[in-house]
Amino acid sequence: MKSLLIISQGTPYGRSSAAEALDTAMAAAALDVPVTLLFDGDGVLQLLPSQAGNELGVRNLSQLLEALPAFEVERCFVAAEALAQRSLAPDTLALPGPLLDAEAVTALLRSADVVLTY
Amino acid sequence: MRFALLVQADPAHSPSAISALRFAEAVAASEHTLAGVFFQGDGVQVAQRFRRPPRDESDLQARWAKVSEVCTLSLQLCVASALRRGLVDVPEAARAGFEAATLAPPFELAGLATFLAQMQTADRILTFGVAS
Repeated sequence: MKSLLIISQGTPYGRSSAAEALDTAMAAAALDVPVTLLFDGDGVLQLLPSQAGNELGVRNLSQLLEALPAFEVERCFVAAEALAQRSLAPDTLALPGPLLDAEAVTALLRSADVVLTY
Repeated sequence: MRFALLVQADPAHSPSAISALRFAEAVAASEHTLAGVFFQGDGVQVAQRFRRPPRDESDLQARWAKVSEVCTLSLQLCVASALRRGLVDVPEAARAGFEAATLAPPFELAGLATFLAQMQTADRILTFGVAS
C-alpha cells in the first residue's frame, strides 16, 4: 500500500481546500491507506483557537481537526517555519501533532510515496 | 508508466486546468497510460454541461471527452465537490427534483475511494492545483 502525505497549506475559510484536505485524509485512513497530514504555509492558520466557522455558515474546521484521531488520522505534523513566519506561538494553537523544522519536513516529503497538496 | 491525475484547478481561474488536460493528451499520444483522472474542488467545474467557452478559446470539456474516448478512461468527479457546486448527474437530479442534469457526459460522480484506488495502481500521481 502506497503511503500518502497530504499538505494542507490553504487558509481555513478562504477557499474549500482546507476542508478538502481533511476529507481526503479521513477517506484515506478509512481505506487503511497510511496517511500523514502536514500543516504548512497559510494552512497553520487552521490551527488558531476559538474558530467559529458555523457563524459563517460553513463547516467548523476546529471540530473537523478534533475529529481526526477518531477517523484514525494519527500522523499529523505542523511546519515550525510557517508558524515563525506568521509570528504564531505554538502554545497558543490547537496543535494536532508535533512541530517539524525545515529539515524534518524535507525528510517527510522524501519518505512519502505520494504527496498531495491542498 | 501509469499516471494518475488529480485536477483541483478551476478552468476559469487557473492555467493549471489546461496544463492537466495537455498532460493527459500527451500521455494519450504516447506509450504511457492513464490510471485515472479525478477532479476535486474547483477542478470539477470543467464538467459543467452548460459551459459556453468563448469562440476564441479552447473547449476543455470537449477535449477531455476526447481523451476519455481515445483511452477508454473514466473521468471522475469527487461527488462532494460536485454537489456543492451544482453539478448533478441524472440520478442526482431526479433525487433532488431538478428538471435537468448539469453534469456533461462522459464525466461521472465518484467517491474519494476511487481516486485513492487509482493512486495505488499508478506509478506517478500528479496534482494540478492552484497556487496558494
